[in-house]
Amino acid sequence: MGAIAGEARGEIFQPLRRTPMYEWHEKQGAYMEAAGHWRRPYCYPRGNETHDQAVVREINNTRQSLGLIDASTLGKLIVKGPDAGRFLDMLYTNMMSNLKPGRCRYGLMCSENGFLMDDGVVARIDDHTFLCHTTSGGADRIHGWMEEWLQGEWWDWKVYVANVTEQFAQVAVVGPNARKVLQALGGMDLGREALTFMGWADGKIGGFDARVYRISFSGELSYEISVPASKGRAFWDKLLEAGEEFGVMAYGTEALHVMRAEKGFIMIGDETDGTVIPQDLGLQWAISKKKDDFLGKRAQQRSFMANPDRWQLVGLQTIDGSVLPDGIYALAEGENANGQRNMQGRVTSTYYSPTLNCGIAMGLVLRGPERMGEVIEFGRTDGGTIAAKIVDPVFFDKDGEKQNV
Amino acid sequence: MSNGVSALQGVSYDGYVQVCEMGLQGMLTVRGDLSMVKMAKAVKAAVGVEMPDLREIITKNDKAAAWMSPDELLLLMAHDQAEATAAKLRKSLGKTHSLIANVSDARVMFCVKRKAAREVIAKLSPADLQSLKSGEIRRSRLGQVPAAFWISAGDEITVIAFRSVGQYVFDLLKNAAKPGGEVGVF
Repeated sequence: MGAIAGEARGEIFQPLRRTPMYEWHEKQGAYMEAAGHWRRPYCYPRGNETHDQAVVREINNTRQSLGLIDASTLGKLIVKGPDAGRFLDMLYTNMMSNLKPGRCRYGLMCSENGFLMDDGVVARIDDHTFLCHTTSGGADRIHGWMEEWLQGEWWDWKVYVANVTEQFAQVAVVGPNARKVLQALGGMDLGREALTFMGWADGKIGGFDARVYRISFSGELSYEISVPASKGRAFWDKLLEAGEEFGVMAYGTEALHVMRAEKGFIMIGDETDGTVIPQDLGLQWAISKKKDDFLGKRAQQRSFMANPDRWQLVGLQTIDGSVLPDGIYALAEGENANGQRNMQGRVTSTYYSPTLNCGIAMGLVLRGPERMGEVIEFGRTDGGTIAAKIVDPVFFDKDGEKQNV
Repeated sequence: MSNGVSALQGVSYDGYVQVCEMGLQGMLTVRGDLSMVKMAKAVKAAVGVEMPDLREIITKNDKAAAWMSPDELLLLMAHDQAEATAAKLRKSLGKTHSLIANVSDARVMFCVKRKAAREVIAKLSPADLQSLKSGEIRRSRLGQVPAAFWISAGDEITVIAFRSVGQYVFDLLKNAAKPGGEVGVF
């Protein structure tokens, strides 16, 4: 029967990808969610807590003291060779070739049609070597994408790529006490000036060989630390032990999502759906004007891509403080040719923000950035409406003071 | 500082073949022009074997070099030797365009032993196990994930896969090795 039906049933129905800390998450009773084939903790409910309550607790604890998140699933691709800088300049919308060794830069990747397909932080390791972080679900796809261009189009460019995603366990140590807990473990200097924001360094922390990236997706003081996967669980345990005096808590992907939304950071797959270009998301700052070419550049110059009537990213705050339903559409006057109500925008991310104690959302709205302060109506499926004000998508710590301490 | 652990920490299963996870194994990915004399010399100096040919794995003591693609090799050595071997390779290759990456912890390694080892792998992979020769490595798949394997001794096949799917690969092998599932074609 096996020969006919195959083996894919029960526990081997589908491969589950587990990080080195997976067992710990399971033991805590974490509620897991899928990210590609990975299973990541969504939140860690304690006692009788609901998921919402757990998420609020995790966020408050991270913003007020110290949180840890298992970020091992992030894709990590080494791109090396004399043409690596030139290659990455073609793949990312922004300039990567002028990044200095020891520094990191956030980058966007688009398809030839100009649409956003991935994002992440690129670190320059040395003159010829870059480490590109991809989204959790994107590592294999982007690795394949790089190989496709290198083997098919730019076969004479001297670049090699290796996928080292699983070689490292990665932990983000986040919150006002992040530096203190790492100093308690002892090792390399992670002081404000020793490792500045968007810098990285190799060294030892608590005896572990570590590469530390000072990057922040939450807006807090934050260090993302990668250690060899075989020591990932031991490192995680050590951080929990040292973090006890600061009331350390692990947080899941939902807390991560809420905190990034409070900061107005986009998420591939939420703010993008394969039809969204960086210009729609106010990411012009990450599109180089100096480069002759990059994948997506020509597509983004086409008339309908450069059209100011494309829906653009804004923040949305309900008048009554409630949380907007996900994916809800903003109503416009009149009807279309099919007798359907015209629309002028939609919600891409929406959460309850414990930091601001109200619902916050991001959405794409017709000429949105020009309409700050305007109140628009969203149509509920039951026929009712919800009013929300168009606001800046950065809800929290606009000047980035918290991450710069 | 604590010692590292492998994905499944030496778990094993006894069915009509024996399956065991082999603990930590040093592994390097080498990318470069394999036809260069300099590359062959660097590999020889690093792991003590000649440049492997198409689909070949050459083993000597606890080290090996395996062909992965026209511009990629996999080198095997003791886990605690991986970083030092990588450094040595980088030094001997100097400015030659190449990429050396320590991928020891990105992998899981299994050993499938006993007479029916080929049959158990054949249940899970599209590769032709009938014609698999000693000294030949297949970069293929097991079930739904990538895997490579070679005959490491008479009735013994070594399997490598990605660390994150270690449990899945073990479960696959266990299922295929269940007593009662013998096919008897090998």
